[in-house]
Amino acid sequence: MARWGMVIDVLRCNGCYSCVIACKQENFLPAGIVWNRVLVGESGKYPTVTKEILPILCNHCKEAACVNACPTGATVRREDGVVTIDYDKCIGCRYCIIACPFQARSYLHKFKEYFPGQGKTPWDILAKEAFQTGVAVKCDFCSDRIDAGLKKGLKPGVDREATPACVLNCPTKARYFGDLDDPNSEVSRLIKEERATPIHPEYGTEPSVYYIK
Amino acid sequence: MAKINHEVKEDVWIKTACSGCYGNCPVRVHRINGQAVKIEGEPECPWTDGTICGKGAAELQTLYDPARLNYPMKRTNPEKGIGVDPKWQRISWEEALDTIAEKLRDVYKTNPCQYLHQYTPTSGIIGCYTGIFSNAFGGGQNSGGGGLFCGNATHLHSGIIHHAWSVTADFEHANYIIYMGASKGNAAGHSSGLMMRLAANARARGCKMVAFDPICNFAGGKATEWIPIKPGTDGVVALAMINVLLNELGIYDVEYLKAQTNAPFLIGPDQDYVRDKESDKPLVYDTKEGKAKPFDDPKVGEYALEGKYNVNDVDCQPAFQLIKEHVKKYTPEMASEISTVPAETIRRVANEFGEAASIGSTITIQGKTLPLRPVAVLLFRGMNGHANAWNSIAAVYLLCSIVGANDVPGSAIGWPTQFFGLPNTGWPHWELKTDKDGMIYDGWWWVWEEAMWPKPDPKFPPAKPTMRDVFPWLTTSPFLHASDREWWREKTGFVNRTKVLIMWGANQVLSAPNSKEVAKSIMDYPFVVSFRLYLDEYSDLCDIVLPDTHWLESLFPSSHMEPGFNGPTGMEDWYVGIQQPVIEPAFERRQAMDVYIELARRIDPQLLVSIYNQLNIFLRLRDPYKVELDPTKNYTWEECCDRAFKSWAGDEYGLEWFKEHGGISWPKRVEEAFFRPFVKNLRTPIYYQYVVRWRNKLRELAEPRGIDLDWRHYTPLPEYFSNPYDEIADPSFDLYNVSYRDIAHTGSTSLCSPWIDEVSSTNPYTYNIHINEETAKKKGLQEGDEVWLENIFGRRIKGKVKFMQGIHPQVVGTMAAGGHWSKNMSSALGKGVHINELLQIEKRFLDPVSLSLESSPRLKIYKAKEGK
Repeated sequence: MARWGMVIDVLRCNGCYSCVIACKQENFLPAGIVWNRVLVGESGKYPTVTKEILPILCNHCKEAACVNACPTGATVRREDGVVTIDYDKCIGCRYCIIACPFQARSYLHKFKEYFPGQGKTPWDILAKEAFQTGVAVKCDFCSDRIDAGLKKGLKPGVDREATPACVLNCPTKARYFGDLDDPNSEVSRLIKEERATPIHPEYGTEPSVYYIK
Repeated sequence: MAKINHEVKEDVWIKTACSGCYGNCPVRVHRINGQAVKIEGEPECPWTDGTICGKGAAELQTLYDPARLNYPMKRTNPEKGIGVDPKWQRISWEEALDTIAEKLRDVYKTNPCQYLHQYTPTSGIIGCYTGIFSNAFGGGQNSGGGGLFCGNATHLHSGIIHHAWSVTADFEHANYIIYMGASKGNAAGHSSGLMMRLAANARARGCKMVAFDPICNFAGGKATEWIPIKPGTDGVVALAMINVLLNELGIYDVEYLKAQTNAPFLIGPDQDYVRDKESDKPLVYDTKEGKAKPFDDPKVGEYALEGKYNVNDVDCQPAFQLIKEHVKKYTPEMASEISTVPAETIRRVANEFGEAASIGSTITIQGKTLPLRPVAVLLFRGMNGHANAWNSIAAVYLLCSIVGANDVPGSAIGWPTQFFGLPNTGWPHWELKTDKDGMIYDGWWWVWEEAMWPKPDPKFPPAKPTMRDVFPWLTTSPFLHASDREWWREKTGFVNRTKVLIMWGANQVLSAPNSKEVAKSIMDYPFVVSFRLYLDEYSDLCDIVLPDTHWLESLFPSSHMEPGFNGPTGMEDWYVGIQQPVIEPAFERRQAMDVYIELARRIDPQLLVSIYNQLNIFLRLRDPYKVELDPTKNYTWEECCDRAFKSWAGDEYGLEWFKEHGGISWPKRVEEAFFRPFVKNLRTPIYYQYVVRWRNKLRELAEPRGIDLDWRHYTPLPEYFSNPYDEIADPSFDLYNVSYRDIAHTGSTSLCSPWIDEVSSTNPYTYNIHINEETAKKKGLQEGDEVWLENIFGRRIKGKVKFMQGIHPQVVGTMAAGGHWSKNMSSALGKGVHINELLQIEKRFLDPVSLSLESSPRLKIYKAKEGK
């Protein structure tokens, strides 16, 4: 069984927000809900300054704090490493949101209009189809694409249809996806050769998302 | 894809090209049950390799934005003004077309120069091709938007050195790239998606990118080394670097200079070439034989680059000698004083650049051995937006030229200007030639413009309000909205006052300087029409507004048919793709091209014939696909697109084929990627002799008319000129404006997208006025304060302040084209600031050669009081 993971090359990334928008489209995310984020800031003091750009998403941790915190078993870690939420089981207690040290989860309290006061647009209608209020939501590594792709014999991270939307749309090719348990996969090779590390490994959650810095 | 609960009756992908910016990256759009739900990159296109940036993907929301203009409207309120309600009344297309046709017929019959045609180039070539109408009509055209401080000087220099619209690095082979007011690979629009990927590859490969940038955000932020610099002073740094290379380090490409530039051309005391009496060709001095010869004489033994000679009874020197002497006064210390870049940094970068140029090295591509010069200096809007643009940019081009880093692998390359056509047809075909002075011409150039080279002589009076007759080397004209436009009109003898303006797209009230002046100038025109996506600040000035199609509702074949503008650079494979409607235009939206053709039909058969002629030209139709110049024929735009595709790709590859397959890709030839080694007798200038000619011709005509320009700028040896605000601004105006393009935005429409807002509102800088933390604290400001930013004319804008470390202490930074105030733009209200309000178009703030505008005025910042 594969263990899915992602590698993000921060040097390649230029902060274009492709990953953020691709994810919004792919998942019909409601207004105000963002699963991929790009943090922008700076470090240093004038004139020796570095711009910091960090694309972040759910880390699908091996020892996920959210899984441990969930009282109903709505949040589970699949065998292939993807951490998912069953919205029907979620009671909206939000313990997971507090537990996640990466602030990767959001609470969908109620639907907001994308164009307030101007009526429903396709985005509002689609969001309502895909979600229900009163639940925690987060990135699911596009598990629909992975699962459907695998059924067709496609390779996630290699074949577009089976690959997470944020990975395949990145113009600088900064994102990679694949099997962390396969030592010959591109992600495994990159982690080894480029000494990629997760953010905040000291939290002990064992993220599946690694960064090349 | 997330779950869809209703029945899926249709699930298709439509191939098209994005117009979120003028990169026009090929994309595919997922349509389910007639609704577009997702935009992805087109995997068949080699440039973008299946990817699309955030702002392109976000265009989906603009398609379905409820605030879109959906019906033709006419104003019922005769009073026009910013913020004055036009009291729109919906009208039928019939009424709109008849009204507009009537107004235009009058102008067409009496004086076509009284029609003004404008468009935004932001959407790419589709906007530029509305010029089919204006070229047929005969009126003036001018691109709208911020073009004035964007490209005037650079396109000129790129045209002469590279015969291309713009310059980038050959990222595939470059090792050392200097950025001076450019953002290729970051926020820049030209071939944006391709540049992003290529720049990322270069970074990953270890290419060093050194960015001289007032702000460490886009170019500065992704650079290996960020060097803060005072805005508009890059030119003096470039001149100092040239001095270091020529006079301290002795690093320059002797063979290149002798063989491929006018460096050995003999220059007389009149600053012009000394010419052979018989052939009129510029002379060089052959030191082997001890005599002067025409530059292209194959028997020249050894070209002199230095020395003093007497030829044809004229004391003369090789141009190189003049340049070498000229730059001596530009010491790194002097440049440091002006630019605030430390002198040792200037020396070090010059040294690194010179070493990395690897003069003499070669590379073999497609079996041809070519010079390899893996260095480039990139510039664009950041250097253009100043009153010293022409000279500063001349200096930077000179910097690349002296190490031979032009249009060869690794170097500063123009967008492709040699093009040997699509695979089946070899059509269209552009191949460079050289004139008797060795200057290049006849490569790709914009289909509707006169040839890049040679430029015609200045002529008075100007026929059109853009005044290109007076400044034939102009791209975007400042004369439409200049505060002193009446002075120019009087002095030049201009009489053809605009009667009708049709604007496609641009919101000049926000994107051009000084909204009141923009409004005043437009309100002078008796009849104004605009194709618009929204009712906005600009529509307040219109008589009729027409509901435009979004690019997701538009048909256009030529998105990739101006290779010197947005073609694939370097050895990247070619791709020509379609832009086609993903959904049929909703409500009563109509594509502008259909409307222009219909207008011509209603105006006059002669005009219709001219349109057909322009269609043949613009679409590069060849026999047997050309349209007949017969007004009884009813050609439609759609049919012309079919003819276009067949002309370029062959008979089996018409519109239907492209609709299904999206595009055609084929390999790049090395002669198309790097033209220099393949063009005979090519001599691009390092001594800008042509500007002497322009000056002499223009001055002769201008001075008797009382038009006094600062003729010092018309110098063949680049100089540094300071910011005109420095002479007149009170010391309390102690900050220089730097406004720039944010990676998530294009023009002012992107501010309407809620998705874009979701990312921009989390970006610390996008909507704010950013300032150096220490500078701000000295002024008693606190993080997040509401502040006024004011110019020396008393105009001011309000915004929120954001402290930055990564910004020059004398600079205040903003993203361009924000600050919408129109109630119709509800999703854009309160986002960003309207920085262009603080710019001023007047003769004293314009570059006398390129007419670039000083876009770094001196400003002052202070806290906004409560309730004010």
